[in-house]
Amino acid sequence: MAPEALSDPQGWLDLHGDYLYRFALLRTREASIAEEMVQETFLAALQARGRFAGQSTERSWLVGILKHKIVDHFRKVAREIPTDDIERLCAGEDADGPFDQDGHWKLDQTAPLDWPDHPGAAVERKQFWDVLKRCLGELPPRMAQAFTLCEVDEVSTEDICEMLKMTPNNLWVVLHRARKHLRGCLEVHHFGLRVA
Amino acid sequence: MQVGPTQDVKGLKLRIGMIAGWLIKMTPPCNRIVKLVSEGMDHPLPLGTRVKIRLHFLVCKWCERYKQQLVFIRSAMHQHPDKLMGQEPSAGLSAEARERLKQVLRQRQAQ
Repeated sequence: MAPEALSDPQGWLDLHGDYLYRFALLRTREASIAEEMVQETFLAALQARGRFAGQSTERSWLVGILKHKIVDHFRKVAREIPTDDIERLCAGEDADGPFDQDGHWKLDQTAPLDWPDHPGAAVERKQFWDVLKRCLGELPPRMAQAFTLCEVDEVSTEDICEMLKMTPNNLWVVLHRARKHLRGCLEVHHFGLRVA
Repeated sequence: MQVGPTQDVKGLKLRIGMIAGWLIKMTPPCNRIVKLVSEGMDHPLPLGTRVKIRLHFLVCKWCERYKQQLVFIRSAMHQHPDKLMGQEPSAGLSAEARERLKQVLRQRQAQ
């Protein structure tokens, strides 16, 4: 089988531009930065064209480059993140909303409910993903970034800590709060079990 | 008068109730458990902590459900990473951005 060959770079923008941009936007959450990442990816790909071994598709090769560019970007801006930004995300105790004074669920108000068509069928519905996207969008940007890197890209704790300039303890708190919010948000808006 | 079985059931219920009450008191409260459950998804917890979580689940189906739901969200995102990206055309590159990128690519290729 002949190894896959690269198509003409002139066509990359039409073939992969939107996909790469969406990929970058989900992780960086800023249009201008996502655009910059796509540009850097294309330029790096242009330079490294000769080294494309044909073992993957053109798209996954480009996505591989883009992932590196995103990691580099996070590393670069980590130095500029004010520390109090992170501290604010992790500060304080959790709001004890869902729990009573003993730390237990308020049974008829906040205890997690049994989700219908969980787990299988829900992921096939477009509405599920629309709600998840919306819920993710409600998180503070840095919390959403940490969560996306962890749960979508499966980046290790150490790497996320380095990229977002957090201690592991901070990261765990941030991830916990993100998950708690998403779970509750899905329960209300997708599974429609409670009134917001 | 037949009292035997009913009393047995009553006694059993009482004992189960006592054990459940004791487990609830001995394990961390739900607001701590949910934190630990999340942490357990990011790094291995000490054995003692894992045992406490398990014991808590025996008497608290809500925390167990919470964990199952977090795991479900995680696996959904792992399995369908593309679905989180905007699919509608407006979520793609804007016309201006596309033009800018085209220019840059053309320039670089000409070099």
